[in-house]
Amino acid sequence: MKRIHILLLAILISAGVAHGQTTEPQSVASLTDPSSLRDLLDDPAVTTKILEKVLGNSGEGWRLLKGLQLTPVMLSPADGKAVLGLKYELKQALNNVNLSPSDGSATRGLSYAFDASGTLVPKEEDNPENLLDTSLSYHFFDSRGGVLEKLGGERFNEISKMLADIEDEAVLDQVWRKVQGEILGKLSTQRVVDVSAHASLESGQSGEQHQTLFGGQLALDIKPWNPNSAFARANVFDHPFALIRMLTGYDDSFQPRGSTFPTFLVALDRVNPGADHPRAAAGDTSSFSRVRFEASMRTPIAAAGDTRYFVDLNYRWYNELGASQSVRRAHLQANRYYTAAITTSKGAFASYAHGRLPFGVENDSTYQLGWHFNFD
Amino acid sequence: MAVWSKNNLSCRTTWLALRILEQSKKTFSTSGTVRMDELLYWNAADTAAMRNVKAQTLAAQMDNIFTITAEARYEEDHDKIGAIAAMQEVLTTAAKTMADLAAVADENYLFFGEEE
Repeated sequence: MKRIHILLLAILISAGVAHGQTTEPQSVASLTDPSSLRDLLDDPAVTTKILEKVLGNSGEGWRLLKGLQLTPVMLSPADGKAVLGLKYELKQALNNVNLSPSDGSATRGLSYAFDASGTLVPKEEDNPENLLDTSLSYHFFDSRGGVLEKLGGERFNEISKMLADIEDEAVLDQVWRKVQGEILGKLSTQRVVDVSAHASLESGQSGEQHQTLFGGQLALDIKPWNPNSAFARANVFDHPFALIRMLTGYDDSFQPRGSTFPTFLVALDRVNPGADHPRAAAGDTSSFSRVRFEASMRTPIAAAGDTRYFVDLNYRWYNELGASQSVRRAHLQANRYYTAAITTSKGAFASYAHGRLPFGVENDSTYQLGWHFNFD
Repeated sequence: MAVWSKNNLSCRTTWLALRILEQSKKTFSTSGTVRMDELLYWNAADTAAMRNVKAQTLAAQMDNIFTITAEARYEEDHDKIGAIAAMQEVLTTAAKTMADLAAVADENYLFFGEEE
């Protein structure tokens, strides 16, 4: 995995964004301007040259990149200067096994997954999101509900053809309102449970601070897809945003959405910290048990032209169980990290994050302005 | 780029399923290039574990709409979990488009009215 980290950092450096580079000052200035760098990276010829330079033309390097997503970000700690970073995400899913009952009452299956993700910046000490996560997991998932009864393939095709012929979004909304009851009335609340066992490596950017962990995770995702259901209307998490949507004209009335109901994860891990772990500085190098919790939701708030605006919320909590006195004295037994962002369907985003991740010692506040760029 | 045509049942069914699930409000003709990170379920701050669960939920519900609401069947040598996993992979890749998702659906499903 360290190879991937080095590779991504090399790409970042090759793109000319590293501090202390001998590039002419004017070039550095233009590269630290998000729009200029985005223009540069949006040119496939430029990115291909960068990748070829870093990887050579061997097939191994290109295969390594399959499924890799890269997102340049501008990180702005509240008490420091802005720094350009690169988010990466690499994933593979393997060996899916169908365990669904033949009566159609549930969708059930098993699968392996490999995931790696994190944020890299030229200097690790400038990284407010200094947590790289690499994980291999084995999942069992069970999905029930979601659709009550069939509409009929012929009728579905008639509706899809009629709607697909409409070229104006406002007209499409009007026509959709007339026919939606026919389809949405047949939807119900979907309940998904995903149970997994995993082995993971969490590390700082350089890999000097790291910890291995083994554990289990339970994920719960409930989606009341029928917007008229009591469950959808009772989605209190979306009530403030339903009010905003009404004020911005996105919705004609107060309409909480079941589709925005938050997703929850809780995990219990056994953690083996490395020698440079912050707990070691506090005098405790022993392995420990940890509870990890994550909640997330996204909801629309406005639209302008063909651009939609969303609010993205994510909350993470890591808590050591039975922490020693030395860990407690150093206030390292629990970490909280939350992110609130306004994003657009065009790819730009602005976010505020507060808290600390597992290798953090103090709480940080970070502002980000970013855009998306992906390899596939 | 994958095919995006209103004469293609996979494209139309994928687009309408995402409309039903409130993931996108765009017209059909402008939806082929809509990226996965423009859809409602995508949150840039999510961990990979969280994104996988959300994508799995959405893929399973799309499978429900395809096979129950719209009476699609699985292509020969394809099954429910394989189809969901294939759509989940697209749904967890920010730069993949609705046309890419429709192409994967086309590989896995025989939509009502589509010739075998």
